[in-house]
Amino acid sequence: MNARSHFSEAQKNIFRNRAVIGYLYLINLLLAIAMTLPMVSNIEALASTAFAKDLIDGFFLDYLPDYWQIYSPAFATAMRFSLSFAALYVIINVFLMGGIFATIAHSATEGIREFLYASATFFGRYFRLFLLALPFLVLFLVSFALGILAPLSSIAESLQPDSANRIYIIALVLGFLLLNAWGMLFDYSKIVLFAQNRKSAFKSFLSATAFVLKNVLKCSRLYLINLTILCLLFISYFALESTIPNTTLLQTFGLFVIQQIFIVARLWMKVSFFASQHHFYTYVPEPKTSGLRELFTSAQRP
Amino acid sequence: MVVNSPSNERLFSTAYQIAILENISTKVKGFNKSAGFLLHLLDFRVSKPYLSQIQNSCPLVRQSACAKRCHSARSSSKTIEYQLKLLCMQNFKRLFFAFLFFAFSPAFLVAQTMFAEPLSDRIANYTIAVTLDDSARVLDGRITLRWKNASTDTVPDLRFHLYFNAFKNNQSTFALESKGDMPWKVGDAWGWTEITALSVRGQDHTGRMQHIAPDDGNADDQTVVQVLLSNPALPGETLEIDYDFHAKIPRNHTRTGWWGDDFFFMVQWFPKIGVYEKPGMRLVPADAERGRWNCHQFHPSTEFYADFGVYDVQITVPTHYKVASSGIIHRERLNSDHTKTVFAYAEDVHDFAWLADASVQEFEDSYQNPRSGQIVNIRLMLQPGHELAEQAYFESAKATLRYFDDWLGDGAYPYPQLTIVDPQPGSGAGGMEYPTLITGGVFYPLSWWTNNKLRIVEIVTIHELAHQFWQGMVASNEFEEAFLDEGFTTYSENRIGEALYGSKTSLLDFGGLKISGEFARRPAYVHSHGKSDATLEQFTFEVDESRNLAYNKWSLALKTLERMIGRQKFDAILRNYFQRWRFKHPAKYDFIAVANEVNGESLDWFFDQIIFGDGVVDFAVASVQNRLQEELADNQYNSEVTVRRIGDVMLPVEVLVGFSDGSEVLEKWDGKARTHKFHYSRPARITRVVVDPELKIPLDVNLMNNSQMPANQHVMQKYLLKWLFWMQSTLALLSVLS
Ligand SMILES: [Zn+2]
Repeated sequence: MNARSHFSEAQKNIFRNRAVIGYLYLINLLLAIAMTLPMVSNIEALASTAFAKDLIDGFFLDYLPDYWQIYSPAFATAMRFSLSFAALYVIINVFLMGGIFATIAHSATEGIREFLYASATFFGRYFRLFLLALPFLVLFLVSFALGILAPLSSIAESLQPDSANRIYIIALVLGFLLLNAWGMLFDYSKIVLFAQNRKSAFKSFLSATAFVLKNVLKCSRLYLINLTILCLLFISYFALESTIPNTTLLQTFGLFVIQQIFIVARLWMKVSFFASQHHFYTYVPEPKTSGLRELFTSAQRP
Repeated sequence: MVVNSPSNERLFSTAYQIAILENISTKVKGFNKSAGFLLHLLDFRVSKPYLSQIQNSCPLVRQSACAKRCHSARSSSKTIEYQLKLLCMQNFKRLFFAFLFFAFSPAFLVAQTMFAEPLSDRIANYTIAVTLDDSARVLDGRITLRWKNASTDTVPDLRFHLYFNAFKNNQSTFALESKGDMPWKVGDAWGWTEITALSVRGQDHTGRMQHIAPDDGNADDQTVVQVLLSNPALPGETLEIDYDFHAKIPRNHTRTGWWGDDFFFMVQWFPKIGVYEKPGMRLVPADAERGRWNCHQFHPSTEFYADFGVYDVQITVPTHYKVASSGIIHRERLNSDHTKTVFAYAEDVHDFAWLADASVQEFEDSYQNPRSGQIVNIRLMLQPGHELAEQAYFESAKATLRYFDDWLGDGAYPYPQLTIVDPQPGSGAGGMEYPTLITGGVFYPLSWWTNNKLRIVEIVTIHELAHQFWQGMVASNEFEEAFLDEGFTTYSENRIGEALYGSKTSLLDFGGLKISGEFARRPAYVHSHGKSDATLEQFTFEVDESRNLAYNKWSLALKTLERMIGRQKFDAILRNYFQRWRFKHPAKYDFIAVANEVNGESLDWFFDQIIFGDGVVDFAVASVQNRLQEELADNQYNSEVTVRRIGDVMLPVEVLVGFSDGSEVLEKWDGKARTHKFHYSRPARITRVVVDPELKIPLDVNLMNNSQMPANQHVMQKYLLKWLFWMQSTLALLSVLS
């Protein structure tokens, strides 16, 4: 089976269990509505002025200083409120991880009870894995800043502007790939944790690392398929958004529908990353890994 | 660029003089054609400003050249040369005799001139020979200054600016007022100027010089030097002052200095005489016993002020540098010591700036006034990698010259050339104006998406070019009344930006985000209103405060005045002010006098509050009440609107009252009382009230309280849905963490 088959198998699987996407979308929408409510009065204040009509054509910033000097405290409050909802959303997503894997691991459709039961069962372990992933993210970002950005920008400084720009673009692409390496490692950590029902988040991470190193080309290929589709999704959304004007009510609602489809597609892709990589992981024959020792021996192999 | 070998110099300058003589001899038609032809015969390639000049004074040449020119401005140099050649051939015999006549006429002895008649009083005229030592970062120069005592006083002393001395130590007034922000304190960043020898009327005055600090008495500040004359300058006398100077160039600061290995932007670079202001001039009372020197020390919050004159400047630099300067460069000579000397010349300017940059590229284009045919050659010195900005520079410069011709009268920019310098990134030389030379700036990575969407290059070009009129020609004192140049310039920048790129989108128009030029100016004013007070001298202000006053308050004040009295009247005021005060030194009272005279009735109610007061402008809707008269049958309402003046400034203001039946009433309120009520008895209720509905008073610091009306449902829906989507996107992005 090649990477493309893993990917398409996963899509079929998600489609059968599309209710999961529904749950994820609902949670996203509800929390976003909660984050929008505190902004209603702020937006109403802006809409109740003589220059509101200027805002229909586009976001015309000329009166922003006047607005800001009055509404910035309310705005700050709304943002703080939103921040706590954002944190809640991340935790909820960690919670749902068990449910998502339970659903995509079985080809049969699961009910909401099973979904929540699996979520609750795995929550503690996935939470520990989440706590482990954060410092690694910082580590990846720091190594990007010091190992890629700093040396490249010192090269760029001595160059002409156009070639300097090219260097910065290269740096950003490398940073993006590094960030995705982090994403891939922790995707497999989650998969290992679920598939092998591991108790230790850290050991799952080590096994996953060993697995990825052992199958680095295949893993990357599969990851890149998902990533490419995600990027295409973004590009087509931005292309659509920039071509559709937003000056009539109909256009406003039409655009909103497109935006909702875009959000659903993004959530689908999030599950697709898990599902296709899970499919690939379970496809590779046993024994996959056996912890720390395996990691080092596999890493030393040519 | 004029290219000729050293041996041809004499011939060339003869030919040039002949060419220019046309300006003062309009009797013989076709003379310029002969000049152009002679140039051609002698195998001289003529620089475009010369051609502009020849053409500007010869209608025949102009017309035919114009036809071609309009098709391709970029390749016009050759076209004009061709046209000239053609026309000259046809009239050769006549021209040849004309040449003989003029070559031996007394007029031939007239020195090089740019304008037939002096445009200014030409008080300070400089002949300068300066040499740049790029490795030592040093300038050595010799100056002959012919300075005219235009007053009726006997003047006992002379005063000179030594601007580079601001960077000589960390106790200069510039340093102290910079409050620790002194990047010149390290390495080779220091700068200073010294007059090594000075003679007046041939008598040595080197020992009669002393540093003075007229503004603050700071003994460590050496930015002004006083020369005590052995014999005072008599009224009307023209003194010939010869002096040598030696200057260490600072690392670029306040637009001047060196940057990198091969970039020298030379402004404020030579010892420059101050302005002797006679009684009645600017702020000197008309009944004062005598005039006074206006020669301020160098402050971080201020710019410049000088008398007009002629600059004849020879600049010697290593051969690998390209040189651009104020005025025109009419000749270049290769020297035997791997240097070259560039001959530059400018008339009726009050400053002279030049650039030596080894890596810069040169582009040319031109502007032609469609009515008068006047041609302004535009020379762009562009950094490599900034090619994408070339069109932006040229197009905005041409459009701005056109705007000013339409606005202030044809020939508003009378000079034959405009030089635009795109400085090296990081040099800090961007966005500045010197007579006939401006600096732009590319402060962000250029790309396809920024072109025609983010218009910083264009707006900076418009701004600096507008300074040619407000300060370059209407030469107010930037030390004391910066709002007279920055305010008028910023107003012009916003107005021209709006005319060219749309009223809401002149700075940015990308993905639904729109920023006008005015937006860049309003926030600072809105956040620090009530501080500005133009009765103080500019240099006593803190840097931020002075900028806020000069740029922001005044650009908004002029816009307010324009809208209150109407654009037609306002433009008549500006036109009169420009025509009357160009090549002179006006003060705020002079502008006010013109404004009052042209307006027909006094505008003191505006100026007293806005220029001389520091009051806040803020009008608001205080309350709206609708009372249903139940005893009446047809839903009769008794309604009341209360408007309030929150700020201290009293301006007449309009109030728009809208009713539920769709009818509207536009009320006028003199804005004098703190509150004012309007009463209505109608079969409809008041649904909306807007104070200043046409936004005639952009000086109002809070536009949010200017209206009371139901929320626009479309706006609500659009932005709530937008916000909702942004939150959803943020959450989707955050879910990557889990
Ligand atoms: Zn300016």
